[in-house]
Amino acid sequence: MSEVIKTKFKQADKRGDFFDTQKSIWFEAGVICHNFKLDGCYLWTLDQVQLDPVVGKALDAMPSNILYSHLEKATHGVGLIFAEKYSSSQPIYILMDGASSNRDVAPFSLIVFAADQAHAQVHQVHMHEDPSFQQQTIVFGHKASRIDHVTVSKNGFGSKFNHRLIYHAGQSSKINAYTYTLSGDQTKQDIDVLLAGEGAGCVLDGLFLGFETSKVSTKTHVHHLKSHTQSSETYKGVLGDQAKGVFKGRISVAKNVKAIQASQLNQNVLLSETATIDTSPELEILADDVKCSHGATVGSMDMEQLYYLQSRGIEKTEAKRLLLQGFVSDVIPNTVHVDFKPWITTQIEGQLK
Amino acid sequence: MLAIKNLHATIDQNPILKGIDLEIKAGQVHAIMGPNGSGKSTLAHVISGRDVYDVTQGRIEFMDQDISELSVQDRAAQGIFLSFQYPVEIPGVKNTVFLRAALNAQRKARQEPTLDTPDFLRLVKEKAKQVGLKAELLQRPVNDGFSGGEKKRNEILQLLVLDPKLAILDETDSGLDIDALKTVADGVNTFKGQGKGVLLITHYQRLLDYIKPDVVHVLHNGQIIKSGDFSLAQKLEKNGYGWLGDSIDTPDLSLPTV
Repeated sequence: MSEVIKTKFKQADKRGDFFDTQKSIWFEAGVICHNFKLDGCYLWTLDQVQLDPVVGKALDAMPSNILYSHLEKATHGVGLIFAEKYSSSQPIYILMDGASSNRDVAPFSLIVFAADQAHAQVHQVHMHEDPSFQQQTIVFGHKASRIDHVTVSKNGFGSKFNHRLIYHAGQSSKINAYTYTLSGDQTKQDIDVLLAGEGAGCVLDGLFLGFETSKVSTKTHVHHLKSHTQSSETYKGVLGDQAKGVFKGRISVAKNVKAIQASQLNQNVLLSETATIDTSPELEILADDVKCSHGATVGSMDMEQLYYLQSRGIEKTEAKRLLLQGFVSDVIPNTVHVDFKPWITTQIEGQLK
Repeated sequence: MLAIKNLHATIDQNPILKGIDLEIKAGQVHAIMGPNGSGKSTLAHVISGRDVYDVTQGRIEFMDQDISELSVQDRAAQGIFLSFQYPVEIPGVKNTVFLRAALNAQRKARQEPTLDTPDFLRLVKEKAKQVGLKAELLQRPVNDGFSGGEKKRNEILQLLVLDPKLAILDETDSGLDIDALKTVADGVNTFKGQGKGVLLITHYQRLLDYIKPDVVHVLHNGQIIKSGDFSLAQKLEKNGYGWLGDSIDTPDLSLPTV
């Protein structure tokens, strides 16, 4: 099924918020719309993506056990293609909200493709209200490209969100990937990162928050397939009430590769006796020349810090809020666009209140 | 200002304070000295209201009001400030954000108007200069990666910004070089004066050369075994605590007239 892609310049949008003023893609009555000029960044249908001699071929070359023939199954989706040497000071925002997906809850595919030396910034925001939504996102960086990809999930409390994310970093390319899971009944993110070209690198960071009875699961698998590849991963979790969290971080280093650097850290704060986190690193290293570090921590609120703040006159609830804000403060790095930072910061702080 | 009467406190059911009587009048500086493990820090934290300690007997009055049931933050808002022996690092929380939250929380609790940003920053910068704290440290997370001296200066900065009625300084002199010690002492000397009270907890006489106490107490095994004027501190410096050995069983609780 091919998509209809509509261009809507200067469209007066009902959202009336931050995204109105930004280059964005959204969905209206099952139709994909956008409000930016297509200079070097193109919106394609899935058919176009698959048939393209460069993009289609590149996707075909990805390991089949990871890319489980999802493209055949996908009925619904869009390709966001950044041309060679593309560069823009502004990111492209993709909004997936309740209104857009009510009509069609079939798995959605998003393909982000950055050609050689392109610098792509894509910030996608999920605000689903429907009971269940599935998405597959493939982010493909060609030679010497750089991709800054941010995923924010701020779904309704009756909403189950299943997100499969595959990052592919080609030779000398860099991927910065951030996932923020802020709310939702169940949020599952399965993330694979393929460092598939020599000198490729990734930063894979994120934050997950869980309150009430929500379930948050993040599984990551970083594959060092070529020499001189680097990965750095930091995930922070804050869980309160009866929330359940899962973090599984896996790092694989292929045979016969060298000069690998990999690090992984997962830090969690549990705010109640009934909140739980199941965290485990898993290393699968088949080469020798590897520098790899990993760690996981689970703790409750630091009583010493809480007492210190209270001894200065700060109320207990306010002190807790300050400490949590401090805990999550470094998960909003500089690669998140400066215009988007206040929005995401406000959203995070809103959840921690 | 502060009246402690027959104070007994335990931690995990282990008695630490075993009947402390202490009265600090407005305008006075008291020093508490004593060997390690005598209960000096416990006394500081019990006055501040830390809930890991249980007060099993006696009472603490502050400004003629029994504060035994008040929370830590309420005691702070009433005007009690404790400078920590080991200031706590709080990664991710900016020093100015913390200071402003503290100051405004206290003002709110006292039903005073909160300070706006320009007024607040002016105040903090002025006080930071006074205690010799580098301006860049105001923008860094609270005590995170600060040197020992910087942490202590940061405590005194908080003292001057929050401007309490009673300052308890728990080993504020430890780990300071002589220049830092002088600046810190200058800060405290600026603070004391009319209507304020200071309780200095220290091992050594060193700090007392710069902040002259009106009364010196010796704490041993959870009790004040001797009180005197500044000459007591000098005597302790010269002779150590050994000579007090006999008085452990017959504590001298009489307060000198000052």
